[in-house]
Amino acid sequence: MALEDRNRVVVLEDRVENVSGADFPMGVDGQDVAFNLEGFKDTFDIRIVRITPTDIEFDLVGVDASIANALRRILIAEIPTMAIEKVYMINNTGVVQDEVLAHRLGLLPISADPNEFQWKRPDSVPTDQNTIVLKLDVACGVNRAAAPGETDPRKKYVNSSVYSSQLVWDPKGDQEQRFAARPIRPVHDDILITKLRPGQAVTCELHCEKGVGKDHAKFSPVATASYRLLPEIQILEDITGDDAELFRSCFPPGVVEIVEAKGVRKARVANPRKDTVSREVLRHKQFEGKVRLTRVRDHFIFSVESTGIIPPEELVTKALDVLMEKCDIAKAALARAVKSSEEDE
Amino acid sequence: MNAPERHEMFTLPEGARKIDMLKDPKMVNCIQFNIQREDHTLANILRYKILQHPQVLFAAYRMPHPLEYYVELKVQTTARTTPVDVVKEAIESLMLEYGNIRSAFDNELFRMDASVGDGPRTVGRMGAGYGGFGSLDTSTAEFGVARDMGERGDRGDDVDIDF
Repeated sequence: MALEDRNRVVVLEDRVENVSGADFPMGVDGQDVAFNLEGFKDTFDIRIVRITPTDIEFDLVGVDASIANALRRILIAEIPTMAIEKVYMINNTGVVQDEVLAHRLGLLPISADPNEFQWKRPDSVPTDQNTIVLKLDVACGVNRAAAPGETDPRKKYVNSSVYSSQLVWDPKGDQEQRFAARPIRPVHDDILITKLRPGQAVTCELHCEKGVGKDHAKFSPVATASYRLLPEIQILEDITGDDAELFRSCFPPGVVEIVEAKGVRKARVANPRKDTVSREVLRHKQFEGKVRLTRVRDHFIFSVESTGIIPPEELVTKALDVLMEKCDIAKAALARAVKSSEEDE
Repeated sequence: MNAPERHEMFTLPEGARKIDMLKDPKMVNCIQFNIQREDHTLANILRYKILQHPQVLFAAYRMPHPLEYYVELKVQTTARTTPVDVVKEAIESLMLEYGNIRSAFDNELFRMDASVGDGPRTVGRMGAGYGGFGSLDTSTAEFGVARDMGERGDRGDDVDIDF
């Protein structure tokens, strides 16, 4: 295998080759892969490509898949948030059953800083340090001001739709002062919880607790957290003329551009990031042997979309902190295990 | 009915140890580490780091059962070192690596904030003009020093849970 191919995943017509890395001793002849920080610093790079209040896209270059995957797994499952965990149903005469309504309520993202709260163990009592109380008290009735013959339930009735904005925070203890700057509320106001008709009502008390995504998906702070490898299109032989047009049309717009030099139109790769690696180009006879599709094995394009509770850039730093803490705990536990095994002998 | 309690997923049972070490009677210089309340997240990066060590003969992990929240990590080394030392080195090197990623990310955030104001931010260099992997200039990246691990004691959350 050619040296430059070592960190390329090769995408062929009917299969993908060179998928797993070989960066362990004896994996590649004469290659020193033992970790050293200087070498890592040389190859490692991180670049934020796009950042908005809800999502971030960044490139993580020069790390192993296991490192990137650990980061992704932690983003999804191990960053704590606050979510509705207990629903005390006082009255529910709507058509949505108690348990279904409780489940829907649980999935609402609640804008509260999880760092401000403690973990609630199964045997501990709710306090202002580990529980947020929200209340929902809605009754549907006929709108007397509606025009006669009105058929739109939103106008004909009041509270025909119950939205997340109707949740009321009930501060306990010193919570009102602690969260004066950022009162606790649902992240979005327009999430439909249930629908009611005149005479129906929902009254309940909701307790939010701290939890992590591996316990229940409602605690996950991300809508999605995923990565893909950077696609790479290698043009091995010049593609010119009408073939260049066809070549460009094989990729999503913006991936390939056509440059004209000395009256000859030639295809050139402009932005491989936009490629979906559809392999359309490999179906055409005229490009056989002229193009090679690969992916860069250690170039991860990370995309993290927050649910709105924690800003996306903070999610990434938090994920790295959680990983660091895991290592810390493992290190201390290993030292303890060694000590106790020495005592046994 | 006999489903495990949800909290069992991350709380260490009373009297249990986070890591148990079992000597393999059939293999020389081989130890199986049973790590409680951990999954692929930690085990896979550990395995990866351990395999990079030149004195390691064998390293692999498995999760014996999805409802038993522990992983088994087996490491065999040459006589020049011990599995315990190798795992320790692997953890330390992981911490270095993540410390580096963390400080590089912080630097990158700082750079983004300095170059543009609030609202949606996009970096031009990765846009239409980005000419592929080869053009990515890694030499200009600024890296801070790996963060001092001692500073992390001030994290107020996660104090009373044993992940």
